[in-house]
Amino acid sequence: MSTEFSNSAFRSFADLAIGMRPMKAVFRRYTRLSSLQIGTLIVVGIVLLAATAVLQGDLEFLERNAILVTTDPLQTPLVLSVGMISLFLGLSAVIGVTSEVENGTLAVLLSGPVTTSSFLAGIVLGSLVFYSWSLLLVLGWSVLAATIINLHISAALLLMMAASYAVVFAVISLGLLISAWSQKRWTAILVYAAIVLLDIALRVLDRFIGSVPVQSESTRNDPWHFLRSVSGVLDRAVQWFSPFAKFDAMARALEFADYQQFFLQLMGTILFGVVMFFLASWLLKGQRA
Amino acid sequence: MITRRMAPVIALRCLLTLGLVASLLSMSGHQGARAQYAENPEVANVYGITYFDGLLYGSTMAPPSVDTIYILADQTSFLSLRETIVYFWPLTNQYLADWDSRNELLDSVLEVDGPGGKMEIPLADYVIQYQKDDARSSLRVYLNDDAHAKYDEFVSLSTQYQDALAQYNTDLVVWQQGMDTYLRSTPETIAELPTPEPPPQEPEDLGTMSSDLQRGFPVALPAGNYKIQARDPNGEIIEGSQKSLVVFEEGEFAIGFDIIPEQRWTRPERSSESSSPIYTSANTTIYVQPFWQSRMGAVYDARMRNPQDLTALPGESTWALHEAALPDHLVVEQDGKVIAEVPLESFVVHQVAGPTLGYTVERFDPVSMESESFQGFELDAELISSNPTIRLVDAEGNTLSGSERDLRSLHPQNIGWLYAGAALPLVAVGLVGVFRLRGSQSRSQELEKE
Repeated sequence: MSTEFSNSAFRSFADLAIGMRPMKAVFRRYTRLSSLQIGTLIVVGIVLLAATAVLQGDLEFLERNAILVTTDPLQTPLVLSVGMISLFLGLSAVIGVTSEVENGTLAVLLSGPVTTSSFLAGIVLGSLVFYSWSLLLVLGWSVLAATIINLHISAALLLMMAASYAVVFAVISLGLLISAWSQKRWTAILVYAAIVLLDIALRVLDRFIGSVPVQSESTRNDPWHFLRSVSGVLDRAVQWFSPFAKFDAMARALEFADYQQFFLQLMGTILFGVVMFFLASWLLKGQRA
Repeated sequence: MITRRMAPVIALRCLLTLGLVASLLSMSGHQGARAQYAENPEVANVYGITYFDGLLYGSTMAPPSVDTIYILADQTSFLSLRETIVYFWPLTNQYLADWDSRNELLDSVLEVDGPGGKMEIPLADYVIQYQKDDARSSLRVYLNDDAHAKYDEFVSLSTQYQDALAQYNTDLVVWQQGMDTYLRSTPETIAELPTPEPPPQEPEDLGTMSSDLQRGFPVALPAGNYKIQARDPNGEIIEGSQKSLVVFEEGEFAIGFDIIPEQRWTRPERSSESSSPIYTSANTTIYVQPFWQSRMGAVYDARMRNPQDLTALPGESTWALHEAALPDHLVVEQDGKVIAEVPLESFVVHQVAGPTLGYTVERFDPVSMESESFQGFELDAELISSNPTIRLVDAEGNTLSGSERDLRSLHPQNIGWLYAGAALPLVAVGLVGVFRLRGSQSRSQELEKE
């Protein structure tokens, strides 16, 4: 199976090189979807309001406490924005692919010069264009915050914004893989939602359990130690697969100026996205055959 | 005679009595369960550990229940295998050693197996000494003959100091008696008395701190995971001596700050990372107190200090605080230019009277005030409003590691404008919707006309 997949990956690369024009056609077709255009604007609006609420929390703490010591108050809003927008774009990709399958238009598209790889690449590119517009709005919001609140837009924040493309690519590729595997819209949506929710739940659980103070003189028999060990193992497992966990790790690496770790996590995220993308292409090709 | 009307009252009383009895029983049971005592004392071999934490030495022990010992890399820590009585202490849920009942150093050789191969470390006499005012740079460890020589020297100096101190106390009593005579004399007789002598000078503090002369295995290894065991003079492995030894790199040494806002001086914030700016609200004066700190893995740090610790979380790091000499002025810069040099000063805190509560801080005046509340560098609101950077420099003008911090005074009152900006995409969606609706309405009207 691995040989089959690697051959397929090579063929997918070749398809991508040959299928630039069909890919552009898919890209234009995908970006013309009004639901995607309006949906992105709505999501970005909600995201920016949520980001403002997060920032307000920090500012309220500052007003109560007179001082606030934190890495960058704009970092959490950025992580939140990237997370929410990428989830939306991943969901749009799921709906986009499964709709084409269910409507029978995918078979028509693939009967011509459009290959599975160029079809999926067109969707990815279309999503990344929408993401660029969204990120521009997030950057505009950050500049506004920096100007009127007197915050500072750090180089680390801009680096995080650039790195967020890898996270979005990985999440969209995950959506493509699920839709290529399922080919049924609601099944794909449910599986996508389940995976995302499980990821978030495991990470929140680990943060919650980790934040509960353990008695300073507890023993190995303390059930919290068992829970902390289990949630720690699960969280470390999630670190390997979750683009969001990797984005979080990138933020932490920049906090400690650990650029080696930052690029390691970035490469890991891109690799995750590439593997998901070619797996999706391979599956879609297999299903079509 | 029990009437029907009384029955519910009696039933209620019975219930209350039962409840009271039950709660008393449960309380007594609870107290019984809480009675604590040393459990299962037994003779066992344990490792006494004298670990170096990056600045000073501390001591702990690894009982048989612990299979891993943690020490810092490339620094000399000491292990000593001792026979003692170990017991479980339920109050702290830890095994403790009854050193007073038995504390016998086992004559042995430590075998270490790890990344550098196998090695044997014999027992050595050692002593640890440092200067009180600058432990960080003056700390020294002496082994064997050097240890004996340094310890003898310290004992000699200590004896001299004690003698000088005793002489000083004697001289002080004599001087005070002379002063009392002088003060009690009348104006007529005082002219006949000799001019009083100046008070005797207190002998200079010894300044040096020293451990007792100890014996153990000096272990200084590069970072890595090792296996250790001890052999007795007959070549037999001593029971309980086989353990894992984790030798870890010391993290960076850096300056941290405690930040005290004037209005809430009881609620200081700690700034450990130089990458984290210090944000203040408008018109806030802050006082910063620097300290030395070193970063370590939370688990490593906790288990070095107590091998039985289970509270530290893997993957997290902690900052260990150290007492060491610090500069007495803080440099404040803006765009790379020095705009102020703030001296270290003493301050006094006054609670604001009345219903508003709060605090005011003013400089300590040794003439009119009794005692200071704290020491720190004052950074007033005007200085902070220029978004400066602060740093500590040593006598040679070098910036102390990790002492740079950006300061910013924020304007939280403008958050409303940010909400307005954030809502713009939703407003745009609304406008697009309205235009599309109007467009479709006008098209349908045109179609109707046609």
